[in-house]
Order: sequence, then C-alpha cells, then structure tokens
Amino acid sequence: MSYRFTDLKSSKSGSFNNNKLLRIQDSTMLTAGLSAGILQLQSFAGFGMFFAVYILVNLIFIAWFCKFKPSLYFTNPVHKIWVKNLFRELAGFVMTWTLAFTLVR
Amino acid sequence: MLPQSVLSFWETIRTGNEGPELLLDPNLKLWALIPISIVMILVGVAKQCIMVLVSPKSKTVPRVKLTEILYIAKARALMGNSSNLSTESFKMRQEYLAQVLADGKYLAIKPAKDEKTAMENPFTSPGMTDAMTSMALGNLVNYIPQTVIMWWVNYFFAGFVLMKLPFPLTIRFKQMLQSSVRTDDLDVRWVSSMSWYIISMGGLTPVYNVLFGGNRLSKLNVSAQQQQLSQSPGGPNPKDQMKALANDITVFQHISVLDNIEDRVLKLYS
Repeated sequence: MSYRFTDLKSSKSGSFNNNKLLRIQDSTMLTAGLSAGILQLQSFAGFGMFFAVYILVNLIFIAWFCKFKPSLYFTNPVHKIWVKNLFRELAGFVMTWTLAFTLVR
Repeated sequence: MLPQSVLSFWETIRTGNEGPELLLDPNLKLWALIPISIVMILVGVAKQCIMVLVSPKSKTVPRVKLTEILYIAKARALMGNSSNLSTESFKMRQEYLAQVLADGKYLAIKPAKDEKTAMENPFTSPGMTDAMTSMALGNLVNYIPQTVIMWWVNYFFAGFVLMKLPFPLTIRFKQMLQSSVRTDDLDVRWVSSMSWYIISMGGLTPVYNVLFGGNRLSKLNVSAQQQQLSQSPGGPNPKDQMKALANDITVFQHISVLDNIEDRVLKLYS
C-alpha cells in the first residue's frame, strides 16, 4: 500500500529555515575568519580552521536546531546544509581573515 | 623529542615558508584599508535600499487568472495526494475536475470561436513590462557601483603594497593582485589595494546578510514568487495544460489507503 503526499511543504517555512541556516553559517564563519586573523594563522592552518569550524557548526546545527532530523526541515538536506553555501562562506571567511590578519600585524 | 617535532611541524604549517618581510607603514591601514571597507559596505547598504525602492510594490493578479492557476494546481494536488481519499470522494472529484478542465470552464482567456492561437507578445502585456523594467534597473544597480568603486580604488589607492595575504598564491595572480606595483620578484602574498577590493567584493554577501538580513530579503523573495505566479512567458498554454490534466485525471489509477481498512484494523487488534 503506497500512499504519498505532494505539495504539502510550505514555501514560507522552507525559506524561513533556509534563512535561519544561512544566518547562522554567515555569522559563525565571519567570526571564525576574524579569530583566524587574530590568531595570525597562515595558509593551511587558516583553511583547516575554516573547514573545522564549518563542519562543527553544521553538526551543531543538525544536532541542535534540526534535532538530528534535517530531512524534516530541508528538502535535500545534504546539498542545502553542506554544499550550497560552502563557497559563499569561504569567501566571507577569507575576507575577515585577511582583514584581521592585516589589522593585527 | 616528539613534542618538539610536533611543535616544529606546527610552526612550519602555521607560518608557511615566508620570504623576506616588508615593513609597511601602519598608516596604510588607517587611510587605505579601512576607507575602502567602509565605502564598500555603505555602497552595499545603498544598493539594498535602492533595490527595495525599485522592486514592484504589490503585484496584483486578475481573479480569473488566479482561478485558472489554482485549478491547474488543484488537479495536480488531487493526483499527488489521491491515495489519502476514499474511493467515493476521489470519484466525485475526478468526475468534476475532468469535466471542468476539459471544458475549459475556468480559463482566464476564453478561446474565441475562430481563434488562431496567437502567441501573446510578452513585451506588450503590462505586468511583464513592469517586471522587465525592474529587472533591468536591478542589473544597473548591481553593475554601476562595481565599476565606479573599481575606478575609485584604482585611481586613488594605486601604486603601493597595502597588505600581506595570509595564504600563498601562485605566480599567475601577480598580474591581477599586484597591479600598479611594478616589481619582478616580489612575493605574490604582498598585494595592492585592488586585491582587497576583489577579496571583499566576494566576501561581503554574508556581511550584508548578518547586518540586515531577514525581513528585507524575504520581502523581495515574496514579490519574486508573485511574479512567478502571475506570468510565465514561453510556458505551456494553460488551455493545453488543462486538456492534458483532464486526460491524466480520467485515466488515473486510484489506490486508496482506506481500501480494506476494516480487515487491517481488525487484524491489528485481534
């Protein structure tokens, strides 16, 4: 017996969830960039910090906000949480990293 | 022994292999780095405000058009969620929708007797031109400040090394990031103010989102959705869409979750 539901996802809630995720990722990665600059990390250490913080933040997001069930809140959670914003956050991280690195030196 | 090697390894990772150090005037930060950053953030704020002003205020869709769109959506929803209906109620809806859609009762533009299915020119319908003007203005708002800031940075902040990047780059970037600093063998990590412009152009999007995210952006999104609802140029003709949906609904194989429900419940509790 197969029963399905279609068109039941509210687009309003979906964009609310996306905005929430984006805001958390943005603020944490910008702060991480600032701290990497203040710590005077260079090259691989800085990018390593980026990936470490990115993974940590996403795991905390999945555990805390999604209660370990991200598929309830996102369609295609792997793409939405891990891949989609990666380069945007990387650019923001590099910017604040460079800024803090230069200001502190 | 081990901690020492670990420490030295950490030190090489941390610092990389650096070339000779340059001593930069600390006033460069005050008079080049910070002004460029402030100007870029303020331009972003102004851009957002202009986008909000330019975006179409409230899109209105004629009622007949809305009815048409919603009937098509209703047919799709019925087929998608059919298994949650009992057989009788599905039959009822199936007959009604098939008839209504086949007749084209809720078409926004009733077909004339001798119509030639004239393709509607998207440039003549008023809603479409509105959307196009706002789109063009949005593009202008995006591109003009970029060009202006680039010229400004190039004109006023050229000719010196502004900062050291925290990560090494390949020699290819020398042309772009060390423009106006004419040296043959300076390490690419020492860059001019143009590269700070490039870096912050990429990285400011999250900053804008953190500074004033949420309500304004979502407002823009809503208007975009309404536009989608109201017009889809080049999309399939609603009349043909309704015909196809009527066919689909008529031949639809309906399986209900409520089939044999009594037996299953009895089995569950027996």
